[in-house]
Amino acid sequence: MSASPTSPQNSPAEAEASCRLPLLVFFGGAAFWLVAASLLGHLASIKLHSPSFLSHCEHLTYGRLYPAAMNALLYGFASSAAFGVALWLVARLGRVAVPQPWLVAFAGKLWNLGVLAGVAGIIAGDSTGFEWLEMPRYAAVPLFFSSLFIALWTLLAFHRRAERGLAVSQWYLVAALLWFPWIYSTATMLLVCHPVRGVMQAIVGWWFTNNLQTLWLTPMALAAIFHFLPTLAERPLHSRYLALFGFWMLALFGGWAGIPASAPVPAWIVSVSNAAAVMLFIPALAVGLNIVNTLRGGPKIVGCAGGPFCFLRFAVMSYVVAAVAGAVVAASAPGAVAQFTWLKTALTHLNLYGFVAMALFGAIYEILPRVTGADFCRKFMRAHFWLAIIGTVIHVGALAIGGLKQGALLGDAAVPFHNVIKTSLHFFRVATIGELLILVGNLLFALNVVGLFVKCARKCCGAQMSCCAAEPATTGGAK
Amino acid sequence: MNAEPQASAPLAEAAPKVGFAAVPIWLIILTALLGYRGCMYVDQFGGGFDPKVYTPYASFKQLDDLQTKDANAEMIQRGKRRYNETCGQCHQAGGLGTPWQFPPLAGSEWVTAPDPARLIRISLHAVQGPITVNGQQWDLIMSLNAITLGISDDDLAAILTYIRQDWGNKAPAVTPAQIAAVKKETGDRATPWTAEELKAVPLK
Amino acid sequence: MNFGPLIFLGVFFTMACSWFGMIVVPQLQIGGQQPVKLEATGQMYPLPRAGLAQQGAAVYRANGCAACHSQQVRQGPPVFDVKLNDLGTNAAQVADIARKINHAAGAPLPGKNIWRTPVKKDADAAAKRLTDAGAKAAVVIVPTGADIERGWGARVSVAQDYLYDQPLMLGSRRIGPDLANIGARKPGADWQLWHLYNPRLITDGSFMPAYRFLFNEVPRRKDAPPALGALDKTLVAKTFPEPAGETVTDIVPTAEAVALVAYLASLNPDAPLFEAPAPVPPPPAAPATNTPAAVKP
Repeated sequence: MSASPTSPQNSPAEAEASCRLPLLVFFGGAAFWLVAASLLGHLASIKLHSPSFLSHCEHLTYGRLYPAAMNALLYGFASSAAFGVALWLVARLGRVAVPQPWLVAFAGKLWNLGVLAGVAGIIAGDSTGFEWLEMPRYAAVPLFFSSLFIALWTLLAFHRRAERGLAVSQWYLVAALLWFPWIYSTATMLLVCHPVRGVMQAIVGWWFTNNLQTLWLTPMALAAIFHFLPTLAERPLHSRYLALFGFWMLALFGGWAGIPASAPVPAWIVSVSNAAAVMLFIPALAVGLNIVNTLRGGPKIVGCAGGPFCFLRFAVMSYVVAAVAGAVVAASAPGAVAQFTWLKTALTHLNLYGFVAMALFGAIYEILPRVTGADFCRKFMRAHFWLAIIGTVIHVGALAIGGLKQGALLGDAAVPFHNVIKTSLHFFRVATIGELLILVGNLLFALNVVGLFVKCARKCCGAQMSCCAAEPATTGGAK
Repeated sequence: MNAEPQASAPLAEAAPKVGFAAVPIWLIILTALLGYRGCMYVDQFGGGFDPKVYTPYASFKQLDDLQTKDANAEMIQRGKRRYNETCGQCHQAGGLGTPWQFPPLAGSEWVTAPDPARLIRISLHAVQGPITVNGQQWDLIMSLNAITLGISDDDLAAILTYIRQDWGNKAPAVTPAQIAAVKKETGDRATPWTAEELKAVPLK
Repeated sequence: MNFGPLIFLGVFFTMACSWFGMIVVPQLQIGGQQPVKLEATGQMYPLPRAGLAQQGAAVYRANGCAACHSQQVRQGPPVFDVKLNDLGTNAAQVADIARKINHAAGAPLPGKNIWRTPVKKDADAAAKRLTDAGAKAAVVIVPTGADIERGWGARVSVAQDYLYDQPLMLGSRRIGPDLANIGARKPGADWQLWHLYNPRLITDGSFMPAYRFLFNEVPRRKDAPPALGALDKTLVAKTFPEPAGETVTDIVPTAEAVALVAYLASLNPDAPLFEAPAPVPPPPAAPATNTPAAVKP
């Protein structure tokens, strides 16, 4: 803690060092939950392939495993990693040391405990029954307070920044840090604590799931992309104006999408949401254009060796593809072919794995060595990258094609429902292979993070340096 | 392949440099077009922001037209409203009239006769003089009638149907065609009827 | 360039807009919905679930059934059937008109649909022609769409159907069939219980996992009386052969299984509403919210 709260003037290195402890908590927890989510998710998939598998065990139904996996991924991995990336970017871009970083680390621990309680609660049968908000109240409350604290503390550090000019990344992360407590508290209040009636629950639920992706994880991933891609490419960002335009389009339309075309709610809600979903094509296009123009004509970096740059570039591609596909699906909504099919799952997974997770991987691979002084294993990183992209392409591709087929068959009442599912499960089998590749890649990522912690611990303890005290606790959390 | 930047390459500045290229004009035009499409879409499928309109239906009016309606019930509703605005002032909302001033309609043989020919005449031109209603003697001066009030055939049919089917009365409905037929028979008569004249009108 | 306050305000404003438009306005519009009185039957709709069905909803929630089963019916634009209820006195003329309305129609019979059209006005006009000729004809609205043709519901699902669902589990994927009207679709409680115990006993090659933890397997000697509440094996006799030895196993549903089946039996939103017109359903044999008679917990 070299930073003194009264004089926020710090060198970038000092500023970065100030968030070492919280970052170890956030990224260690993220690695743990990523592996947990992949394993739970894979177990759930097996249950679809062989329906008698584990059918004696009450706690391992598909309906418990799949939500548990999604919650572990969304809150344990993605949100936790996003908090870490936000904290680091705020410290580095604002050249400000995070005041009392142990407080943030503590809040991060609380967050991880909340996720643990939540996932355990879902498996025990305490799920609330709302998609992506399945975590029971006893988990939701600590999650809310720790996220509120982390967000406020990060914004406080942002407020005290020495570098007053704002980079593109900072807009995104400040916005996301304000939005997340808002959407999470609204959804928890209206669904879990003081439930609204009937279909209003579904409306609040859809609003929340959409915003969790569009106004929390997406801006966080974009903050990482807008910082690291130009930096790693050693090129100036193509256009600040284009970035600004994309940002405001996302802010303006992001919160309105997400109500499915077939929802049993008054037609105006569906159609307004549909119009907004199509508009979300614009911010993705703006980001894509900006990044393409930034990378074009730079130093020769087209060859990809599987480093952080590759992760981030793949994230941008996934973002644009997911947004275009989402807009096309929304634009063809009157037919509603995609409703209730794997296509929706495919787009969600593309967004979560292909875009958000990849951007966060790139950021973590870049940030952790800088704050700990230890290096990642490059071989593992490269293997992770290839496994992740091949896995994502197979997984999402198979689910999307299967979903379209499923939608077409569902729309034809002459086809018995059993045959519809039989057909779509062929595609699901292929998708599970992709999922397996992703799982192996995630394991390599977690091993890499643990390895880095061990290296750091050895190095620090050998040299009697300050980060030593933090190590045992953090690696413990990651296991 | 090895041209990719290394993970720990020193970052010279806190934030990457930024350029200031303008937003391409086509992107703005595209935004406007998609925005226009969104407005059109909400206009077409939004059901006018009505909470009763759900997806396969386009508007409240369309739904309203789809309701299975009882034509007679609707006519009685309208008749009741028009009755209370006009006749009900004297004959009262319950159809019991006012003792010594306005005779009752409820249970009246003049109202509930199966053929409404006499009732239509009374309502069109009024009735004056001595008359027996429900076995009671009245000497009437009926001041208002449908022609002076300007009640249309449609509305009058509704009113007469209402008074013939409420308050325990059970008589067949009156159609606008029957009223038009009576008007044709009576020509441009303007004077009120007497009970004797009415009794001379043949009933089917 | 320091646009901190501007960004803060903009971020606040955009979220406030979405929050207002997507949460507050819908809450004002439909958040205070109340049960309505049905014109056809005079009953209130919807009725709250009976206690056992309400407990079953908790089992449904805890096991995450909504991960695979949706509970919402989609619908296309409706069509209209001109139905001839009675030929009346002038049968020859009615037959003639019926043939004019629909060339393909054979001899008109009472209770038969004469014609189907997507335009209400045309259907009304046709019905009027028949009525004028002395027949009794009616126009019946028929909701369309694959979900309805599959028998998954009578009409589109609307907010009114879910007034008492707490939590509301609409589901977003159809890995299994839609359950919106499962209470009306399947033969009875025994069928549901066997299906939960092992779906492949009932449907060959079903993809649904078995929920055997909802049942107790009680062994007994062959000549002993069956355990209290044991499932009747005649329904699955073909697929569930008794072992040859001295003992047999009785399958006894737990209270959870019985509650879950009561919940499933309570699912049947078929009442015609203003916002979702549909033909009036035939009166149910027994109130749908009651415990299935065949089950003795």
